[in-house]
Amino acid sequence: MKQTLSRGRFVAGTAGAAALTFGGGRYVIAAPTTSVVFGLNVPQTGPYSDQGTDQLRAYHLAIEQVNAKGGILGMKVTTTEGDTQSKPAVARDGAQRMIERDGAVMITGGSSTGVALAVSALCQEKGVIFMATLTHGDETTNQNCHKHTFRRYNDAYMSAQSLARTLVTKYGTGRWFHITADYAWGHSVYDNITAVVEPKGAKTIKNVLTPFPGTTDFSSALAEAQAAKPDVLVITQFGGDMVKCLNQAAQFGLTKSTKILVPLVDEYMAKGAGENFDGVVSTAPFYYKYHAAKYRGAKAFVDAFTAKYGFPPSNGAECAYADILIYKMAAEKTGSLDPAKIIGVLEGTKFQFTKEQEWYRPEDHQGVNSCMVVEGLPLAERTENGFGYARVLEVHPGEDVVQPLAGLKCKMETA
Amino acid sequence: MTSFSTEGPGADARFLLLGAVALAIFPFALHLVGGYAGLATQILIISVAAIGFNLLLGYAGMLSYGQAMFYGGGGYVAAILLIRTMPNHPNLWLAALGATLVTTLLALAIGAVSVRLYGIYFALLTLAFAQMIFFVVEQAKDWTNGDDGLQSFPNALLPLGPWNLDLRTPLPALPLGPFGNLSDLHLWYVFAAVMLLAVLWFVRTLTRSQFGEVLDAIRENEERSVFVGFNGPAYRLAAFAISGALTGFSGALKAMYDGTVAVDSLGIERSGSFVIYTVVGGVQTLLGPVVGTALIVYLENVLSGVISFWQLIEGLIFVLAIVFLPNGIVGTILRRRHGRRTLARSVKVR
Amino acid sequence: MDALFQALLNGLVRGLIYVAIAIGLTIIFGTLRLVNFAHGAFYAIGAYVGLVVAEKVGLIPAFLVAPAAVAVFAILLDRLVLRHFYGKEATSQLLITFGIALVAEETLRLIFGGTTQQYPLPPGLASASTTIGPITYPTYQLLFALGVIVMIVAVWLFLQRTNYGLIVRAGTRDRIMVQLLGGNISQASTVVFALGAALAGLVGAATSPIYDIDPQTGFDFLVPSFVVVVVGGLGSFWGAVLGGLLIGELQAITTLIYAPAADVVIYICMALILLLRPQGLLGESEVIRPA
Repeated sequence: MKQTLSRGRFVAGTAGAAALTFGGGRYVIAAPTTSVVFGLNVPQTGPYSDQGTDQLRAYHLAIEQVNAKGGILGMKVTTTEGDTQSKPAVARDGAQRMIERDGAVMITGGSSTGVALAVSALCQEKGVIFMATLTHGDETTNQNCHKHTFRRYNDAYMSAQSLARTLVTKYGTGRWFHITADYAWGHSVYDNITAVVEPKGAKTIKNVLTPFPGTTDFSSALAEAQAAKPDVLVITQFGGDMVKCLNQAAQFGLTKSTKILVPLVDEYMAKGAGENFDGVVSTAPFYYKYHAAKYRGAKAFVDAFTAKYGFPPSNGAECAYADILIYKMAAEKTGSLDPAKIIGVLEGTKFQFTKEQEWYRPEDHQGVNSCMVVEGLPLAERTENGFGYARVLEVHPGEDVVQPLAGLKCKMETA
Repeated sequence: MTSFSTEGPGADARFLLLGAVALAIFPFALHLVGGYAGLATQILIISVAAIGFNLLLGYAGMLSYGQAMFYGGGGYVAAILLIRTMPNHPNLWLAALGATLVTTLLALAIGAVSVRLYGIYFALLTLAFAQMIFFVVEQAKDWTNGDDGLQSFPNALLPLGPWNLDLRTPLPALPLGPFGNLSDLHLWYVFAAVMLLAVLWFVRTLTRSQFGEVLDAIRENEERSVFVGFNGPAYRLAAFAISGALTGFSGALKAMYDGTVAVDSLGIERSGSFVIYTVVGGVQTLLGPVVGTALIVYLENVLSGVISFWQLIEGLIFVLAIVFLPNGIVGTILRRRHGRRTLARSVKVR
Repeated sequence: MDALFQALLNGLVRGLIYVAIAIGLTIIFGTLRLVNFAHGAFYAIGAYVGLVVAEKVGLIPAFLVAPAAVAVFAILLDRLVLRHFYGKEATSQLLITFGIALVAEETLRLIFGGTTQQYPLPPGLASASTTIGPITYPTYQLLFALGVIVMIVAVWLFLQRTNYGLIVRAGTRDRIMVQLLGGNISQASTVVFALGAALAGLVGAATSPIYDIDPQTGFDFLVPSFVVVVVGGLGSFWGAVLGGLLIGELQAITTLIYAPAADVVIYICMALILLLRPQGLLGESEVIRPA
């Protein structure tokens, strides 16, 4: 039977065509029919490839579990993946491909702030939700915040606050020496730490900036540090760079003579540094041993991850896992994949999956959840092949250490 | 001889027509093999820089390892112009022309001191200058935001007659079966295609002009050319400047297309990528750089989502191309068609 | 003052690494007229082979196996690929060796992964430090510096005292004449190439305990080594030594004053040399005009 073109259909079709033609820059993503596509944009090569690969494991686990329970809104979740190489331009291109070609409705992943900023800008332009995973620099939810970007991970401000609160009684008036990676994250951390400890009397001897990326040789900076004989040495480096710097620091005897602070750590960095991480104080948003003992959701996650992969998850992996569950929760609460609606839910709704009850602030989309201060265990006491690397010194609730709204430089769009 | 040759009277028109048709088909063909519209646009834009590099290497015989300073430089200048001088009326032409002007001047300045060197010394000197520019851009944080790069700068509009076109507008919807939909393409693609054709026409005319012939002669044997009365260094400086202009123009367009620009557009890897694109595609040919860029950028983009060791494949392709296809893809095809007369030898450079 | 002393010592160690790599680069260029961008790959392969051997067997065997393995690789590379590029224009050589460097780096990444690996030094050595006057310095690095100096002397003696060395030195000046006089320059060339590669491989294995390894190591050291060779003079042995020490110290001092400039300062140095004295500090007033 010939299908006649009803008037209603004709009008709808024309309206649709008109909307697409004159819709301008940001346009509606092709309506997904039977599957929901997530874009997993992580560093698989480069200095943060360990972190990126672990995130990928967590994503796969989460999506497997979600699909086993019927997917999201009855639709199966599929993925498209890319390698950011920790380079902003490459990450951006990858995200663009995922959105334009593969129809991704949500982009997630990452291990560097520069990359996060580039992808965040792109996602805002395309109207796609970006669940920024491992980005620690303040800018992601401060100067460079965007309506479509949500960051659950602690930021540099929170880490600095937590570190300082725990340590200031012991080292508050000591002499501090900094070796800082010369880019936005490094500066952010340095500024935050000095802002907290200097008013309490700590003296900053010097801040040596190391070119980023690409520094393999920290000996000049470390030699200076050794000559200065500080009470505290702050090594603001991440991933493979932190491992190199710390190992070289050991050669200069600094790991034995000085208290070393590393603003952010994960299980792979601790393993890479081996015995040199003994006694080093750092922060992390999640530590599987601590959280699995305390929270059922965490235990379920850690057990499932360990069963599937044979070793425990890093804290970046936990954030990746949670990102998927949080998105699912928001989609199901609004009954749609419409980004505007999902944003509405994410702003302020409280949820609990792998940690304590937490939420995203509507003002900047920063996740408000706890930040822990940890100290490296001696090599002999570490468990599970080096993954069990720390003792928890103190856990600071998110509300206590998160950026105050007063000084926030975030000017978020309305849509 | 087929009647549709690109020589003889009306050759230019036929060339442009062929080009337009090819470019019209390109994005849809790309779609079939896992590409996407945005990728097609990027390929066209980056090709312009590769063409600029080829002008230098293939025609002037100069290997520059620092083209990224013009590419990234063009991008940054365009972005800075948009942010600082026209935040309310972002004009694509002005930004692009401003960027091109600056990179041309930069090329003239650097070229003035560099063209007296040859071969590897010239290559290393251009590398050195590129690294210095990289450093300056990284340190001038007030202007360039340092390592974070410039994000979300004003979306430049293209003034055309009475309209101000937003190039991000998609074309009207028209389903094309397995080729996707016409609306996958935006006006950016049309603009990039027009620009590429213009650049190709320009370079084609240039290399066939007297300037091109002299450049050829200088590349082959500069001493003799000097004896005959041509100012070798001057011609090479001109080639360097034109190359810088094209590369800067490309970088500016890319920055405006992306809406962001970061320091990796200035780095050694970027400079190296132009070398790879051009050598694989075919040095000394007009279309070689375009073909090489299309192939490698496509592989980079699509392959990286599938296998993790795609860079190894890229490197292997490069090595295989140098060893087995010294004239590049296009060069080898042309040699087969026209015989040994047309393309004398492989990368003949001093 | 102490800091300056530390910096100078750092610069010395760094400089000696550059010297070791640059010597190989420069004698390869001198005899084979080959611009070898793959030299960094020799360094990286040496580092990784050394890592594997050190983990399985021990440190000293690593230092023996690594250069040998690299030498074998170099000879194969030479026979199969590079032979066809001798005497070609420098830029063809640059391109093919650049391509080989790319492939080598990516293959290493494929085999060993992209993450930084730590070199297993015996624990005593790993944290031992020596006190020299006011400063304390890691013992291993001092031993390393001594080792490189010994190696430089050994190579020098090889060039001065052996027949191969004689052919190499003569071939640097006039390749054709050497062949006419019956010198087996082809064989000597292979020996030289293998030697230069082995040097880089040995340095790769020996340096990795200091800096840790990742696949990009080769390229990281390659570009400064080229700078060193240009500054010292392409083809000049003592030029490589002088250039290496100079660049190493320059980087160390700059790190002390304004660390982010440590990279760019060597490029400025190279640019100045290229513009003012292109043959390098100790190079001969060579042909920089159209060949």
